[in-house]
Amino acid sequence: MGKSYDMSHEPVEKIIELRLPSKLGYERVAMDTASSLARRMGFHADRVESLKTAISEAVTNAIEHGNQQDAAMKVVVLLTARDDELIISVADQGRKILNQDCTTSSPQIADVLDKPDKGGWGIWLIRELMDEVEFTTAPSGGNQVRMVIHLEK
Amino acid sequence: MELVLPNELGYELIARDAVAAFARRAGMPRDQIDDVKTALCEACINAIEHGNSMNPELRVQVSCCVDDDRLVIEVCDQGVSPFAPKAEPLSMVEKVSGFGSLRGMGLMLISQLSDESGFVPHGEVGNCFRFAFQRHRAASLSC
Repeated sequence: MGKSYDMSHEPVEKIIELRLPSKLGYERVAMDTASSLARRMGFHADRVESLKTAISEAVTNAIEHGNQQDAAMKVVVLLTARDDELIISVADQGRKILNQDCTTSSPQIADVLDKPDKGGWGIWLIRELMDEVEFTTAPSGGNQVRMVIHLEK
Repeated sequence: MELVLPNELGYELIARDAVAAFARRAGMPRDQIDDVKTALCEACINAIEHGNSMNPELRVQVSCCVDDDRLVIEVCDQGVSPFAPKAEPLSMVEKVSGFGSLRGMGLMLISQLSDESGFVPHGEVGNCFRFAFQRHRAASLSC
């Protein structure tokens, strides 16, 4: 699974599509699938760990918030392997649309400690760990986060 | 769970890790997960090499379902080369004893490792190979 080129020597991309039920625990499947691909692409171990954390947060958000843990709704993870980067797209079916303010704000630890679930760090973590992050609307109309991690050789 | 892969050797390892994570979540024991991983790799390689004839434009689809009794996996190709069973295939013992090519043992290996296996009607162009493992623990249905 090394570098891939088409006949004109332009880099080509390889796409893996993963469809998961919206049940907590399935984020582990996404984590292991993405890390398996990233290791074989040549990412360093610490970058693979960052990727696992980011994809776990993104899929958990999609299951818990976007799809409201409705197991009949799917979370779609697209892994696009290019010569110099891995693009990860996580999309839900949008039972609950993400407030765009949540995608840019940074949680304050004092505020978060006052909340009973201590949550709210996911998007901040994703932004810290990935090289590029973009929140958009999925083709299905749901929420979509597109994350890019660059391969340094 | 569904997984769609490029038709390229090596991607069976990605499928293996995905399905192993799925089986772990279902609470299957480690030794049985090892059997699942081996069988899954064999089925994917068959789909890539034979069903899809190594055509890089085609895809391989892996589906996993688990219920209280079984983990069921289907590996489907896009069928450039429909599966044609041999009338009297050599056994593993005969192959290992030198009476035939050491290749072509994948389906036999899967049948030994899983509790049931075989090609099933697909509804689309291509081959669909299904194999299943009896579970040791109960869990609610999820696909």
